[in-house]
Amino acid sequence: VPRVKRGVTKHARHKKILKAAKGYQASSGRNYKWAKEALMHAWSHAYRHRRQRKGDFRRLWIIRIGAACRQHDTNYSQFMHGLTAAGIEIDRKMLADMAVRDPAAFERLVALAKTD
Amino acid sequence: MAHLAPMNNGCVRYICQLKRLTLQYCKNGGSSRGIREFLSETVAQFAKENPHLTVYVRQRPGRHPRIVAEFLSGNSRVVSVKNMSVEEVAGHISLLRTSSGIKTVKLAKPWHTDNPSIQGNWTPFLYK
Repeated sequence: VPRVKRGVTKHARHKKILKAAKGYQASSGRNYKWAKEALMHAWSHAYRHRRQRKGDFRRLWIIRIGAACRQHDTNYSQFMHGLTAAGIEIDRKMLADMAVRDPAAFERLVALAKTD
Repeated sequence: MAHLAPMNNGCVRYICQLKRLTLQYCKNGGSSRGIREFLSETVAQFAKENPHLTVYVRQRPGRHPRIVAEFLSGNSRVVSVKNMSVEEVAGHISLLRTSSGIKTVKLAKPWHTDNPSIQGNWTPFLYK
């Protein structure tokens, strides 16, 4: 096998990693060794947080719905119970969106949830 | 990115959004075979049928063939026609001819609305 100098292929491999690490501070954005480490952490965080994002948003929506229905003399748990009793299946994402964008409709939903 | 403005093109009068086509090919390359056949057969009649288009034919020796489309909006799109048959090249050209000039961009979310709030957003003073 003829002798192979590894410069070209190594450069191509490193270039990919350094491109992915653009914007990272100090050596992590410039130095291949540190960029690789920083990226490994970044990718593992991204993997974990893609799964956590679903729960994070649900928690945010619940906080917003709770805040909105407290303005109407109820609380989140009573409100959600009333909604399921009334057969309304609107999800928390849309409820939170309505609380911000369409407060009149949200008020009607609270009224519906309060009726027995 | 800015939302896509609704295209009223065609509601009353249709204006072809494609302004200029540049067909770049190689005289001898194997990947240019399809577009060479297209150029020898169909392109003259295509240009005659579409007088609003300017069709340029450029030789790029030693490189893969491509079609550069420029639209009235100033956007351009480059389609590589490497190793395509005549029918595929003609298909791409007709796709460009009928397309709007909007850039093909990945949408961040599958929904969009211009008026998210009809009666107005919540403010702290709404239920005070």
